[in-house]
Amino acid sequence: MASGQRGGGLRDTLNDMLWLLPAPFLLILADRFGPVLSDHAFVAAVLGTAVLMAAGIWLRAVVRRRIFLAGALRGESPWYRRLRGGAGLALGSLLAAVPLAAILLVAVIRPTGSYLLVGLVVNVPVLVLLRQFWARRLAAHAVPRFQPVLALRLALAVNFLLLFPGLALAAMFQSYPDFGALTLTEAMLSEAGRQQAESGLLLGLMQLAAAKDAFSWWLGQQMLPGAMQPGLQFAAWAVLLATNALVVWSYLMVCASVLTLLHWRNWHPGTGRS
Amino acid sequence: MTTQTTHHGFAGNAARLLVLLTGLGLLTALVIDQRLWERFLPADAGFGIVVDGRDFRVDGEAAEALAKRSAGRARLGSERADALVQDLVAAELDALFDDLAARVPDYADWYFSLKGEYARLSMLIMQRTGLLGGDYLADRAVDLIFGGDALGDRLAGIEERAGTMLGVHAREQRAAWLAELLQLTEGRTLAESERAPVAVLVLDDLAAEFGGHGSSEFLARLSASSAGAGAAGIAAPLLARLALRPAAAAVAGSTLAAKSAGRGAARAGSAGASALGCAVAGPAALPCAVVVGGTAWVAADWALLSVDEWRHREALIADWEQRLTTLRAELEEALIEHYGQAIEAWRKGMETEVERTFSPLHAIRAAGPVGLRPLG
Repeated sequence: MASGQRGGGLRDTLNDMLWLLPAPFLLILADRFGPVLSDHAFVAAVLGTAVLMAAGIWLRAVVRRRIFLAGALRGESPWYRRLRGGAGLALGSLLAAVPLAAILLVAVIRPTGSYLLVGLVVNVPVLVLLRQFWARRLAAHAVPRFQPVLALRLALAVNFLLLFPGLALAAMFQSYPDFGALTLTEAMLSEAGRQQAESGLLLGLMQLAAAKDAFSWWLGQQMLPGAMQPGLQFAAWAVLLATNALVVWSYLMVCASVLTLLHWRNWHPGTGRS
Repeated sequence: MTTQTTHHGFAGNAARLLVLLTGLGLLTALVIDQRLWERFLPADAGFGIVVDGRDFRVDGEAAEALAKRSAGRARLGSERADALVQDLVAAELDALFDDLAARVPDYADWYFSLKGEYARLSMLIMQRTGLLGGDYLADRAVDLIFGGDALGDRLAGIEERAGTMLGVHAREQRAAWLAELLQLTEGRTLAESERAPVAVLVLDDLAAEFGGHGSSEFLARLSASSAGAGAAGIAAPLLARLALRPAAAAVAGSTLAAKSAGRGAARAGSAGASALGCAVAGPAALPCAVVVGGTAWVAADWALLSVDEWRHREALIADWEQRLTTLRAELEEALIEHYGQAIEAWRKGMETEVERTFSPLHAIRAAGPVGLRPLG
């Protein structure tokens, strides 16, 4: 029996990993075929991704709200039911998910090195293993109905701390255009001009992202001391890191949402107080 | 029963693990290895090339070849420009310095003439008394040999011809590069399809760089290459240095002051001796002495000058020919450096533009998405 339980735990882990595989696969397809999407197809892709992400974001928000309510309100209070998280929280989650989905799709559709997509693929087992690890560690400490989502939250945080520096490190070894002989404006316009997409909306977003990258690369290539104000350089790096962090976080939101939908019944804290 | 369950669990997990590892491997391969896509998708959408109002679609190999040819064309073009400039400068300076060398005998004629002698004497006296500054002899040499401002005009002509020649060469470069591009893309152009190119390479900026941005821009770059100095500006300090350089033979061998003192004694002796002969003229002795003495002074001076010319003329001419040879070498070196800087700037501009234009070949995935807007 014990052997069977161990096999079942491993099976759940493997099942989770297998269910997560479509996430990077769809992003690889987006990378490949994104530029041919029409406006409508791109909007549909963003909304579809956002709805998927919203499921996970909403459940974590619900759990956070319930934890707060459990400590702050009496169970018989009518406000407990009103504040426990419903359509309003779901709508808020969806609104937060839309920009994240757009950032993620634009990042994978834009021509970048393969390191980003490889990182996303390799991350699949990492997230699942981290969630399993935290689920076991929290079993003796967390309230059972909140424990799965708390474990997921911790796994996401640790996974982010692993994936973000990993991708940043890989990015350092990529080759970038030499903007040494260009002005900042020329560099940004040049990079923006290289973007190609069928969808005007997608093209605009890609050009914005490309201009942002050119801005950071250009500043990074101004090696002369005193040539650039430190504040401006810091701002450029902050923009680059912030957008990269958003891409990583968006992908983790997609993966977390897939896991959330898989385990919805078990992970949902329920409607009641206990 | 328990054993059987465990066995089934192991087999199921092993199968899941196998599928998972296969899936992860396949996804990684899809990202890294483009050949997998080529098996499932139609042929490479290729790269769009836009130049000179025309657009092409070429495969990745042809695009790579274009990048290499463009880099090679930039290098060869600048090397050819260097060679052309060296030839042009050498030919122009040959003609110029042949003309200058032909004027050296005129300068020697003046130098050993009575007019030149008395002009030098007058200027020497005026310089000694502070009435005149500068170096009269040097100024006269510049006037007689270099034709004064005419040298500047000749050098400006060289500058103009070099700029024009480089502008023409740059245009030829551009035309040759475009012809090469057409030749390379001929037969390799991909059929237009619904699929968009992997990237569109707009070569108009590169074409403009190959063409030197037109003659005017090229000439502006020439001027900028030596802090705004043209050929005349380069020659001026060389000329000043040359004129002030001590003469090896004629001037140094008999400095003007020493010669003047020696000649003065000879003239005075000759004039005095001649004037003594007028003593027999009675009342007309004084006018006779003035006329005879003056004539004897000039005749003695002329005779001494003739002797001086006989002794030093060849040395003076040889000295000036040596000076001109030195000036020519220095001027040639300075001009070639001047144009070399402009050509180097042009080469760097072309190489930077080649690298920038073709950077998508290296930065973008090899096979590509698709679709997009029609070219052109």
